[in-house]
Parts: sequence; structure tokens; C-alpha cells
Amino acid sequence: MKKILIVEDNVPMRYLLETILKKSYNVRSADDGLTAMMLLSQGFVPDLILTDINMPSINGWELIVYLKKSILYKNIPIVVLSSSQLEDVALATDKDLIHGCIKKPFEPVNLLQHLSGVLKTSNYLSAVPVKE
Amino acid sequence: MVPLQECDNTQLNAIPSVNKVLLISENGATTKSKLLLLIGPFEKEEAQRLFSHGYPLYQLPFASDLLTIEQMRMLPAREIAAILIKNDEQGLQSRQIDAIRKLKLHTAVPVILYTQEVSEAIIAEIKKYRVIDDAISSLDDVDDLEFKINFLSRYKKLVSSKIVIPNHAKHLNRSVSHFLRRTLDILVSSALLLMLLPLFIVVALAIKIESRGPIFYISKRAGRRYKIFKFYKFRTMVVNADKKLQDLSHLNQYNGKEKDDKTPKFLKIKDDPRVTKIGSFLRNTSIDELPQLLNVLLGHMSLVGNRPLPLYEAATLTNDHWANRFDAPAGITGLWQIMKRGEEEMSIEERIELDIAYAKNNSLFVDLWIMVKTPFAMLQKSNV
Repeated sequence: MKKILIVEDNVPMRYLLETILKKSYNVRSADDGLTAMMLLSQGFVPDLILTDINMPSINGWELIVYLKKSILYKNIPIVVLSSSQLEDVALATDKDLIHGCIKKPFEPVNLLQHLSGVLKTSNYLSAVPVKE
Repeated sequence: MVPLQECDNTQLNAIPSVNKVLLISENGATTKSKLLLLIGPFEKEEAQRLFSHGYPLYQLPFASDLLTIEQMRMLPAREIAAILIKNDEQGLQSRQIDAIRKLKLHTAVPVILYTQEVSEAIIAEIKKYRVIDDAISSLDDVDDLEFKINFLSRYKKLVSSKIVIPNHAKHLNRSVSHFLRRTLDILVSSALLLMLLPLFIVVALAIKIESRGPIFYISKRAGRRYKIFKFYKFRTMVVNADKKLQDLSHLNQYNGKEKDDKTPKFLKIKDDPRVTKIGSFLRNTSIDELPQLLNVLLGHMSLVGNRPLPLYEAATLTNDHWANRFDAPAGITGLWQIMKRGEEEMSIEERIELDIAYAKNNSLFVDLWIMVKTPFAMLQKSNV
């Protein structure tokens, strides 16, 4: 089962996403960019990251820009989940920073389709973390 | 490029002397107060390139026998912007990395590997140690280093200030109320199901006699946290009623308000022609809702909660604010049913706000109050 990391600060929304994705994926969630970074550094390497933009501490864009520059995580496909269709999204898509944006409110079926499409086309494979 | 020289910069007197330490800095012209600690066989040109960021550089000899944990302990973590480690042909020297780990320097300071080329082997090694945060190669943009140092420093600062408060009291409270709710649900639903069994048999026969088709109408609904389950009702319409819905959308009470995708799509039709005669009676008396007691017994729903929504309605509520309504269990009855049931003026937004209010404030007391008020609401006569 492929692994997805959900990064979302809104608690009910996070639960909702977990329920929707849990059936098809191995899901972990982080409540902001900071927690996402902590999970990654602890060795949880997902096949895809689904992230909100407006979050406290480290926000979605900060997380995305860092991850795409980082040696360890730059190949993980990132999908944005946002309430507003921002110009930044188009720009980020152009620069290959993200694999699309799902706009809230979203149709769960469309979300699942988009994610499985990204997972199929991106040839990124999460490497098994090396044990110490 | 400014020529570099070995010097004894008085500016950096705060740093205790470590044996065989090479301090590279332009005389007094560093733009940053924190320093880069270099560990490994850095070439002078490489150091020069790094120096162009304005950091004072402080180099530790790579394979020196003199470098001990004791000596590294002398390094003030607060003065260090980042530690840069360079690997040699044999790969990373684990001794320095172990020292960093033992001193927990990596918890406060970004540790970045400087390498000629980033290979799979290097990445595997970084993962193995779990001390190194990132890597840059000599081919990378010089600004990337500064970006990474800034981001990782901020991240580490946030991690150290993040205090996790284990809220045991709240957790216990929540599981106690969950247990009470579930116990009440099981007791009441099973008792009611037993009591209502004769009525169910009569209703089942009546449905079968009037029109062909199943006794129950089973649809998929989204409940708490968007959990999808099979929702039971007595069938009150002719078979294939869902397919006929398209033709009837002009009768929708909520029509005209959904100008764009942002408006939730809800459907409610007055004097729906698809309803059977027995169906109309069942609806007016709310008897058609009673099979949901089975959903309650099975744990899909609770006696009191927010209406489990058909999937097409639920899908329109997946934004940050409206998602709050899914934080409460799905229920047979709820705030909406006892407040303004059947009034045409009640907008979808008002309904959702009631759901959210319930999700935020529900308690055993509120549930009991709603349960007491429900029978009065159930007996109303309007065609909802």
C-alpha cells in the first residue's frame, strides 16, 4: 500500500481526509509543516504529500520550496489542497514544484482519482529507510 | 574574490581554542555573526566559495586524532549557523558524526553534507546516520546553501520550542463520554427495535403490498469524519426513484440559490410525485426513519447527531469551515430536527451552522434534551 502524508491544520478536515484516503493508502498526518518535517526526519518517507497552504509555524509554500530543494525529499510528489485558487499554484505547477492543486470544497472521488493519477505517473519510489 | 587568510580574529575570541583549529576569515569583514563549522578535507577554493556568504568559517581537521568529544563540547552551539561535513573517498567519517550526535549538536544546528556529487550511496549514508539534514554539492547554486541553513535553523528552533502537552484529562473525558454515548445508543436502540418489531412487520407488509420492490431503501451516507456507511430507511418511493430525480430538479425547494460550485447542493421537493401512499404516511409520521435504529445498533450512527448526508451533499461541504459538521457523530435526530423542522425559509447555511454548533457543543445533557424534544417534532404533520 502506498504511503501518503497529509499536512492539514484544520482538525475536522484532517479527519475527513484520513477517512477518505485510509481505504486505499497507508496514511499519516501532520498538523502543520513543522510536524511534517519532524515525521520526515524520523524516517517516514511517503510516496506522496498532500498539503494545505495556510498553516501556522511552517506553512505549505515554505514546506514545498524546502522539500523540493532538499536532497532527501525532492522527488516526493506534492499535491496542494487549498481553499483558494492562487496564482502561486499555477506558478508552482509550472516550476514542477507541485503535482496539481485540489480546491476545497472537493469531490472525494476527484481527489482519489487525482492522487492515484499522480502516483501512477510519477516514477518516484519511496526507498526503504535504512536501519541504524 | 577576497583573499582568505589564516588569522586570529579577535572578533571570535568567544570561541575557545581547539587544537589544530584553522580559522579562516577575512579580517573583520564578515557580514554574519554566526559561523560555519567545517568538518572534513575542504579545499581552500571551496572554503573561499562558502565564505562568499559572509559567514566566518571555522574548520576542524577531519581525521585528527586530537579531535575528541571533549574538544567538540567546547564548541558553542549558539554561535554556529551550520555544520558542514565533507566526505572523503572512503565516505563519511562516522567518528565526527557520532560526536555530533552525542553532543546533540544536530538538534540545534543544521548539519549539511558537502559533497562533490550527490549519489544514491551518499543519500543512503545520510539516511543511515539520521544526523545530517541535507546535502549540497559543489555544483549547486551558492544561494541554496544559505536558503537551507535559514530554513533548517528555523525548523530546529521551532522543534525545540514545540512543547507537547499530553492532555490526559481531556482525553479521558472524551473516552468516558464516548463510552456513555455508545452504551446509551446500544441500550435504547436495541430496546426500541424489540418494541417496534410488530410495527415493523406491519409496515413491511404494507410496503410490499402497495408497490413492487424491496422493503428497505438503502443509500450510502457520509457520517462522522466522512465515514461512508449503508443507511437504512423504509422505502417510501417507487423503485428507481433516484433515477427520476433528474427530471424533477426544477421542483427543488433549494433551487436558485446554487449559482456556483461554492454553494452546497441540497435537495428537497415538496409533494414529491414519486412518493407512494404508504410512503407518504410513513414520512409524515417519521416511521420511515426508524430502521436507522439498526444503524445505531451497528455503530454507524448515534441516536443524536448530525444528519448523515447523501454523498452528493456531503461532497459540497469539504471545506475548512463546513468540515466541522462532520466532527459530530451522525444521528437519527439532532438540533436541526427539533429547531425549525419543515420551515421552507431555513437555508442550507443555517442548517450547516446548526450542525457545526452541535459538533462543537454536544454533551450527554444536550443529547438528552434533544431526545426529549424529538417526539414532538416527529409528530408534526407537514410534508417534509
